[in-house]
Amino acid sequence: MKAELLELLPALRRFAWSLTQSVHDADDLLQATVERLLKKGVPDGVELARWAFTVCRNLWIDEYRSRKIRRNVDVEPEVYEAGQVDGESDVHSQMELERVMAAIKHLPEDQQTVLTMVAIQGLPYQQVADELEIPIGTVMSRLSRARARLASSLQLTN
Amino acid sequence: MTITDETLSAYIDGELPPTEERQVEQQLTADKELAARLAQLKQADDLVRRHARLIDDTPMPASVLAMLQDTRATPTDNVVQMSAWRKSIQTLTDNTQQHLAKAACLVLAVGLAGGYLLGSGSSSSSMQTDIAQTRSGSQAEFLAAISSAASGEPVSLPGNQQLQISFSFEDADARLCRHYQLESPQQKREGVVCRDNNEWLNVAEMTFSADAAGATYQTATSSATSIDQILDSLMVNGPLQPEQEQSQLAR
Repeated sequence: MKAELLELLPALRRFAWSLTQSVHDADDLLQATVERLLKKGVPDGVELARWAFTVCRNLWIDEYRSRKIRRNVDVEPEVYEAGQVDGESDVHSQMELERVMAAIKHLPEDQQTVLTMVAIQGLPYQQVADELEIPIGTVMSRLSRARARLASSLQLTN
Repeated sequence: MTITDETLSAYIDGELPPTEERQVEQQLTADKELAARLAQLKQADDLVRRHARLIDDTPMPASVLAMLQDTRATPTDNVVQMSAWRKSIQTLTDNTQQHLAKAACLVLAVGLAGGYLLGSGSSSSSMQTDIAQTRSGSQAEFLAAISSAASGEPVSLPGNQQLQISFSFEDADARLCRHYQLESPQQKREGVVCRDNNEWLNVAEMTFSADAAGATYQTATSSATSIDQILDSLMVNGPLQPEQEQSQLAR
């Protein structure tokens, strides 16, 4: 299980980061997720990867989200500095990603969660609906509103 | 057909029924504005994914890596670094044997984490104790099961005890030896016994109390070693195949 989790770690961390929008909170959430998985294991017949994401999201909902420790921090300097590369196009790209982050942070949480589950975790709609216990139509509408809102905030062009 | 953001969004994710998907594709080729809108929504997704990957550039927290790279923290990972006897068990083709071998490894791994145990099985010395002396109440049934039960068959013993022989093997003196697990509501025991002149000798034994925080153990010798080391030193040719085991038991 540890070896599998180790392989899964980068994807799980991206997911945590997408939910929390804070490196520190993402890493705290990641650690709590791994601890929970190691302690409680995976239910019979459930794929580890799927369960890990579910645990991560539930922990976020149950514990971390309520704290909202760093949700209002607008920038995450370390993450942008770490990814920074010289060159004009990279600076432009960096600025664009900072705008993306700001736009994601301003999404309503229900939309952000669905977008993260579909775009980052890659779940099918039915699974998102099952896990969030909402109708599939609600998944579709939240998702399209999230995308439309991002496109509008970022003034994306084709 | 009116195509909304919701439809385009579902199209991006491949979640539309085939008929509807074809209709969207037809309209996309005919409607540039619709195609532009699709591109905008897709671009939002791409940016979200790129953004998610940004965290890859920051170091993975050492505390998390430490939890997953600590190979002694959980039973499953102890299994990975197990010894030669365990590897040889894995070569067994019999499914039941393989299953049991894994079960045995888990128990041993718990022992490793807890730290224990006991004696050598090199010869019939004072280190080995007659099982009849160490077990009360159900020793006759225990010995009967050890003498006849096939590996993998759970055997119910008096006192609500469940015995399972994990596997059998031969030691260097061609004695038949068996690794077993004995479980009751109060405790769990695992051990190795070897048959010497029609007597079963207790070679290694470890007892876990159900109510204790850690493992407790009984020793047959003062030398501290582990059951897997004992098995490594005892096993010559790996575990017996079911038919070999039956043949040995019949002797």
